[in-house]
Amino acid sequence: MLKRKVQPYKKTLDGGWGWMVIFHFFLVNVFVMGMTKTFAIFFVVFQEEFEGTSEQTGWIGSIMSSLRFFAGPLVAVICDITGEKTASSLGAFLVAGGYLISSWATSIPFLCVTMGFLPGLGSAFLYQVAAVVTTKYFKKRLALSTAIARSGMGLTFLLAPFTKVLIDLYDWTGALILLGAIILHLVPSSMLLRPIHIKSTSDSDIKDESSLSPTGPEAACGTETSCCNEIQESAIEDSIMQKERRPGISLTVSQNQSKEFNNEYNRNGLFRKTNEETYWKKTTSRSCKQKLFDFSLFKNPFFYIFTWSFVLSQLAYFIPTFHLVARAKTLGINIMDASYLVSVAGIIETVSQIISGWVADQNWIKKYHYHKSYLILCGITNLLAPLATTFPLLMTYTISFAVFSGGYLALILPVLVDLSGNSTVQSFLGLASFFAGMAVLSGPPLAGWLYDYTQTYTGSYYFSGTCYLLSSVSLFFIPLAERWKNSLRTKREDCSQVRA
Amino acid sequence: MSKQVWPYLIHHGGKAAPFKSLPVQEEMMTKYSNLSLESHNISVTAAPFTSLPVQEEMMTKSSNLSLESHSISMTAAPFTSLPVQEEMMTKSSNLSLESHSISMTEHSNMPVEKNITLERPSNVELICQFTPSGDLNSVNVTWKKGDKLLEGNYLVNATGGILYTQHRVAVINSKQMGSYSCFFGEKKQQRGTFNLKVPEINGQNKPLITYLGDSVVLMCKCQDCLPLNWTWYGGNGSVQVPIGVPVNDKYVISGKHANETRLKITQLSEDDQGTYLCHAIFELGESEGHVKLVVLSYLVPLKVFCAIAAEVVLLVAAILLFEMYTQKKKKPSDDGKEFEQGEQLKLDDSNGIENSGPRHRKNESVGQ
Repeated sequence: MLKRKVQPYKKTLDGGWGWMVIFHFFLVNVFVMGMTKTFAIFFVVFQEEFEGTSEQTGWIGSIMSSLRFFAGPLVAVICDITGEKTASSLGAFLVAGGYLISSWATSIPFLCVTMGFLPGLGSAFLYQVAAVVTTKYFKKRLALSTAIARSGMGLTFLLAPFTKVLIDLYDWTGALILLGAIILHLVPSSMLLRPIHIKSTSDSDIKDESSLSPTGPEAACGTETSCCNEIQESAIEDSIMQKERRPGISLTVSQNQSKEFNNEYNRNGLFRKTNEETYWKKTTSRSCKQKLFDFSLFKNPFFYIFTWSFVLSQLAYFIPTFHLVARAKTLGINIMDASYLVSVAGIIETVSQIISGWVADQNWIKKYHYHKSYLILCGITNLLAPLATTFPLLMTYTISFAVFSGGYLALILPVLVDLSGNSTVQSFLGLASFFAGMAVLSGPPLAGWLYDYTQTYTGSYYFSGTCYLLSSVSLFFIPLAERWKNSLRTKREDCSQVRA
Repeated sequence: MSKQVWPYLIHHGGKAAPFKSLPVQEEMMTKYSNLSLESHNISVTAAPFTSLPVQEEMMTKSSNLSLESHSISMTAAPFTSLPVQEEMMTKSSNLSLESHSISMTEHSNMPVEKNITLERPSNVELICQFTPSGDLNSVNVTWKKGDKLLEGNYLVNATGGILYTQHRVAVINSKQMGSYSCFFGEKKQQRGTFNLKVPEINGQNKPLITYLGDSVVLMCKCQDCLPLNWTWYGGNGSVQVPIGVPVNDKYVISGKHANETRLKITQLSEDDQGTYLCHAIFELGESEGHVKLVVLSYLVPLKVFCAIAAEVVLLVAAILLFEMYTQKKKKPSDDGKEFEQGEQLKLDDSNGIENSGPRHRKNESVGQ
C-alpha cells in the first residue's frame, strides 16, 4: 500500500490548497447542476424516441435530482470507509458510467436506472464530499468560499446549447457518450481533495465565535460521536486537550482513515501502538464499525432545527424558479423576454451569493441571523409575487427574489457547520440531505398539482412564500437550544468530575 | 349563425355589419364551414359591379355552399350597381367558392402578391382593386395567367373612385393552378398576382443523424391538409428512385393519420445516406418535402470519447506524479511534520507533551 502522509496544520487553512478544493467544488457544481438542466433537453429527445408519456419520462429527472439528496447518509458511511478522494472519484465514475450505459438505452425504465439512479447517486457522492472537504479547509472564509464555488451553477447556462450541438452532431447516443467522457474530468479534480488534518493548539478554538454548540465535556462523558469520521478535528482535539487528563494523547493518523479517538473513559484500547499497526487498526475498525451511522444526530436539537429549515427552503426554492417562465407566458410576455428574466435571475443570484458570503464571513453577527432574515425576506417577496402582473414588476420580483435567495443559499453550509458541533459535518449533512430529498421529490408534482387545482400560478407563490416563512421559524429556536445544550454540558461536567 | 360569423369581424375592429368596416390593410380570413356565405355585396351575376369593401383584403371560404344569384342574365351591363344589402346567391356547381382580393394604389412600387393554398377543386374568385390617381375610365385592365393573356371572363367595375376587377376560375385540376395577375394601366402597369398553390409539406429541417445498423423513422407532415396519397423517393443527387415499390423488410411505409406519412428504414448502411423526398398527391397537383439522413459509424463519437478519456488519464497521471514528487521532496526535509501509519503524532506545541507521558499511558491502557 502506498504510504500515506498527512500534513497537519495548526489551524484551518482558509486558503492555500483550499482554493484547489474550491475549484473542484466549483466543477462539481457546474456538472451536477448542469446534469439537471441538460436533462430538460434529453427529456424531449427521450420522449420522442421511446414514445413515453411526459410523466414517465419526467421520473428520470426526478430520480436523478432527488437521489442526490437521498443518498446523503450512504455517502457519509462510504466516506468513512474509504475516505474522501476515493468516494468522490467513485461518484464521478458512477455518473460517467451511468451516462455511458444510457447510450444503449432501449426503454424508459432502463433509462430510469442508468440515467436517473446512477448519476443521482454519483452526484450525491460528488457534491457532499466536496462540501465537507470545503468545510475542513475553510473556517473563517467558509461562506465566501462556498459562494464562489456555488457560482459554478451560473455557468451551467453554457451546457445547454453545448448539449444541443452535441445532439445535432452525434444524435443522443453519441451526445451521452461524450457527456460521460466530459464528466470523467471530475476524477482528476477529485484527486485534488487532499485530506487535511487539523490539530488545534489551544482552547481558544472552542471559543470560536462561529461555533455554537459546546464540545468537549460531552464527548468525554460518552456521547456517541462517531469515531470513524474525519471530524472537525479541532472540536475533538479540544476535548482531548482540554481535559488535560491525557496530555499526551497521540493520534495516529492515516490519510484515508483518520480515526479519531473518542474520549470515553470506557474505551481505552485505542491508543498509540507504535509497531502494532494491524492490532491498532483492528481495534479501531472494530469500534468504528459500531459507529458507522451516527444516531446521535437524532438527539441533537440543532439537527432538527437545521433540517426543518433546509427541507422547507428547498421545497420553497424550487417552485418559483420552475414556474417563472410559465407565469411570464400567461401574463403575455413573450418567450424571449422570459428567458431574459431567467438569465438575469441567474446572474444576480450568483453575485448575491458572493456578497452574502463575504458579509457573513465578517462575523459582525452570527451567521444564522443572516440566514433567518434572508429566508423571511424570500417569503415576503414570494407572498407579494402575485402582484407582479407586468413585465417591469415581474422583473422587480425576479431580481429581489434572486438577491434574497442567493443570500440564503450561500449560507446553508456555514450555518450547518455552526450548528453541527459535535457530530461530523458529513453525517449531519447526509442525514439532513436525506430529508431534503423528500422535498425535492415531492416538489415538481406538488407544483403541478397546485397549478392544476388553482388554474393559476399565484397559488404556488403563496405556497412558496409560506414555506419560506415557516422555514425561518425554526431558526428562532437556536438560542433556546443553545441554552439547553449548555445546561446539558454543565450536567455532564459534573458527571465526568464524579467519574474522575 | 350570424353569431358565429361576426365575432371574427368584431374582433378585428369591425362592426357587425357585413363587410362594411374591416380594418384597413388587414388581411382577415374568415372561415366558415357549413355556413351560408352572406355576401351581400357580391353578386356573381352578369352584373359586374359588386361593391366590395374598400381597402380590404378578405377571403371568405365556405364549403358546401351554393352561391346563388337571383339574376341569371349574363349580359355585360357594365355599370349596374346592385343593392348593397341584398343577399344574392347564384346556383353553381357544388364546388366551394373562395374569394381573394388585393388592393393597390397607383403609386405602389412593390408588386403585390398573394399566395392561395388550394387542396380541393373549387371555384376561386380573384378580385383586384385599384385606386387610380387620375381618371378611372382611362385605365386599361387585363388579366394574365403566367404570361398568357386571358380573354373575357373578367368583370370590371368602378365605384367611388376605385376600380374593381374580378376574375373567376374553376379550379378542377392542376392545369388551372399557377399564378394569375391583374394589370392596370398601359404605360405604367400596376400588377397584382395571385399564386395558386397546393399545400406545402413539412419534412425535417435538420438532418437526422443515425448510426450503422440502426433503424430510423422519416416523417413528413402536412398541417391542415389531407393528401390523397403519399409516395417516397430516395436517391442521391438527381436520380430519384421510388421507395417501397418492391415491398421488402427494409422499408416500411406507414402513417397514423392521413396528414402524415412515415418511412421506417431498418438496417441502415452507408448507402442509405442522402435526401429523401416525400410526395403528397392532391387532386390539384403534387407537393413534396425533404428529409435528410446522415449515417455515421459508431467509431465517430467513440474516437472523440477515447480522446477525452485519454486526456483524463493524463491529468490523473500528472496529479499522481505531482503528489509523489512533492511528498518525496518533503520527506527528507521535514521529519516533524510527516506522519506515517502507526507512528505517534506528537503534540509538540504549546502543551509541551513529552514522550514518556504517552508511553505510560499506553502501558496502562494495554493493561486494561
